[in-house]
Amino acid sequence: MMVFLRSWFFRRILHGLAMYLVLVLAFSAVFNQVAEKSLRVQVDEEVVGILRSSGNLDQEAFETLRSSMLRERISRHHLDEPWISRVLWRTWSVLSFRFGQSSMLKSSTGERGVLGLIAEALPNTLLLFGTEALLVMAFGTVIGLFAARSRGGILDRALSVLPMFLKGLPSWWIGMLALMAFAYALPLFPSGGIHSNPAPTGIQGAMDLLRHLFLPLMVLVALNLWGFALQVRTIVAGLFDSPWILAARARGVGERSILFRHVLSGAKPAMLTLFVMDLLQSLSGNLLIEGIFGWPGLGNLYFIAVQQADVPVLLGVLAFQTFLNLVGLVGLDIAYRILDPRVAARDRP
Amino acid sequence: MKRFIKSRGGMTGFVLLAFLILIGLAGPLLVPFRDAGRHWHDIEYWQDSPAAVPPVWVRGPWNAGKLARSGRLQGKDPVLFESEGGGGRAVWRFMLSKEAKPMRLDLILVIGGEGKRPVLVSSVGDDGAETEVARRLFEVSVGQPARLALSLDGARALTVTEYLLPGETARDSPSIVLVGQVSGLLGTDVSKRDIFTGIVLGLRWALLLGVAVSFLTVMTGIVLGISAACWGGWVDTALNRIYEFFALMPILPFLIVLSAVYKPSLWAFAGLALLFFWTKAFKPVYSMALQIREEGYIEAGKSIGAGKMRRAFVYVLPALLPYGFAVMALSVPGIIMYEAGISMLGLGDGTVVTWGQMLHDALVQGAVINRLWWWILPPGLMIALTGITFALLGRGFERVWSPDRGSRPTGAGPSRSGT
Repeated sequence: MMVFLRSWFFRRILHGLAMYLVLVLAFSAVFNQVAEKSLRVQVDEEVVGILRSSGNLDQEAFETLRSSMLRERISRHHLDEPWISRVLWRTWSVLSFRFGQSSMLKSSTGERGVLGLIAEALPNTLLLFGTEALLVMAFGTVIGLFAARSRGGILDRALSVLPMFLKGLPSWWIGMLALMAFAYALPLFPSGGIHSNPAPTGIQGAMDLLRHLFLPLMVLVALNLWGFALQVRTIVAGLFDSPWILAARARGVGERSILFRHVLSGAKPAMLTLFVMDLLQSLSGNLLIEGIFGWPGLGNLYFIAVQQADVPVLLGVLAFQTFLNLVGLVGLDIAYRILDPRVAARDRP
Repeated sequence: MKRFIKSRGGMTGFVLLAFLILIGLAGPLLVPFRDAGRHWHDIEYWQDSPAAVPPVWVRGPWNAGKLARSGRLQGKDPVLFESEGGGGRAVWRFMLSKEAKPMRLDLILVIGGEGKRPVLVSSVGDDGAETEVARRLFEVSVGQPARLALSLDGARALTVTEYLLPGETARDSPSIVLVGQVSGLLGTDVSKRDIFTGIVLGLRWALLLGVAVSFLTVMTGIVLGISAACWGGWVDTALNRIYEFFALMPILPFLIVLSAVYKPSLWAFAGLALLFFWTKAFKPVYSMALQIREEGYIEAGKSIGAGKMRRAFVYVLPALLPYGFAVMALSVPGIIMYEAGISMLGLGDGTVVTWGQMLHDALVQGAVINRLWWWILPPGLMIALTGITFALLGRGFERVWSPDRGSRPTGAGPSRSGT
């Protein structure tokens, strides 16, 4: 236990948590005012709702009860305390994932808890972007390897230009075009959502899901693939000249085996970094595409919450996404160290 | 040879940029609706245009009969008929273009001037026979012309007759607006706005925002990066901590929530972007400055008594400026894309016209469902074109000015290692 407490891993995790704390603190301070405003409205609605349903009250009794109930709830939510302690309370509730109630949006079961909304959306987002990152890695690696093997070839030259052109294209715009072309002009794919209504089950359900997944997935893969391939190519190009590849060639190992086993294994840690960074960047940079396709993930939550001006949902999703981002980065550091022992060796005195 | 290939992209970027700037500056002179910038959200300003029609160039010999051009005909030189007791009639004749003839024609008659104006409108058929179309008494006030919408079938010409009281002369000639099935270089949107006008007006804001924000962010990043590297100690630690803080935030989500909560103007948005984007240049500059700090000429400067400030900003800074230019150019597309994304959500600054806002309107007003491609394609293509321009420019800077520092992973070209 003591070994772990003193280990690099523990320090890295601790550092990540500390950064998260600071981020949430700043976040709570910046958004405190709007968050409190929507909380007060919610509290008032709740009280009026309770009083309305509790039978006939005359005006005076209604007002007295209302103000006393309001006062009780306001002090329960710490809204009557000084600013700094309100911010600290907010920080604490965000840290413990208590994001409160939404003001408009409801989950599929009719709940208004923001955490529930996020929990419902997260798997969909992970499905879309996880599949995207996997496909990008698979195809990007192959393309990058072949480009690196024939340096200066057509593929290689295409790789040095394509990412630059694609970087300036908003994925959501390509999504709009894809929808217009392949859902409306040629009705090959559904126009949005994650399943048909009513949702089929079994094999048909899976096919239905794939049909809905296809367009947004293809747009993301087509846009992100080339940048990934270029980076793989850059990493691998350096490895091709390394002594162990030369040794493998001398032993008479086949080109294919050299490419996929020897070169690739040397590039593994760097490629893991690429994979995680691609996933994280896509999660935050391409989230608007979910709104275009009505894909019910985190990005779509932003989309709807902006339209409905649902502040608690916006704040909750943002805090959660920051958390996700940080977990990804810390996890990446740790995984990198396990995959590439040289890093740990360098740190040792 | 290598240099030539390297600078070719940069030169293309330069030419494209010059072209974009030229259009951006000359914008108001190029567009058919000159004060559209102030009236973009003004329904009355656009009332004479057709709604959601494609560009004029979709017209070909095969569909010319179905698609009439939009346009405006100004009435000139009326024929006057004087009555015996004074007053009389003033008759304007509008020849309708042959190509519009076979089809039903929608038009708006615009009558200016002032006061009560009795007007008779007749259509002239192929045989020259006149048929009365409308007879109205218009109450026209100065600056607010009266409008009458009409539909004609198979008319060759249109006559507008104004009845004059004794002592009156014809005052302001009427004009007719042809509401066609095609309009302008890029068509119109559902709110009848001219898309070409919007594209040209949006260019200015995209360039201004992109260039201003990238310049400021990169300069901030450079200055802070050099400060951290050259001062060391607590400055180093503090700046790197602040860097870490901002670098860990997911930028787009933060910008979305900030924009949703505070509804910033374009300039406030620029300020927000500054807060997030300076981190892009900070880290590379920091590590480069750490190396440059150790170089001989800096040591030499130190030995002749150059202070920290002088060493940092007179000796180190110039060595990093070329890199700074490259980063500036390369970060413009991102900034334009972020603004477009925020505007696409409907959180843009309503006082200006941006491509993102055009795409927002397109999205919420059903351009995708109704396949109004001329509304969706141009704004995105312009975002892409601007992006490519600055990307080319950035790579040009990277390669020509500092070939040895251009080997960042994303900018690596073919055959850098080996040969």
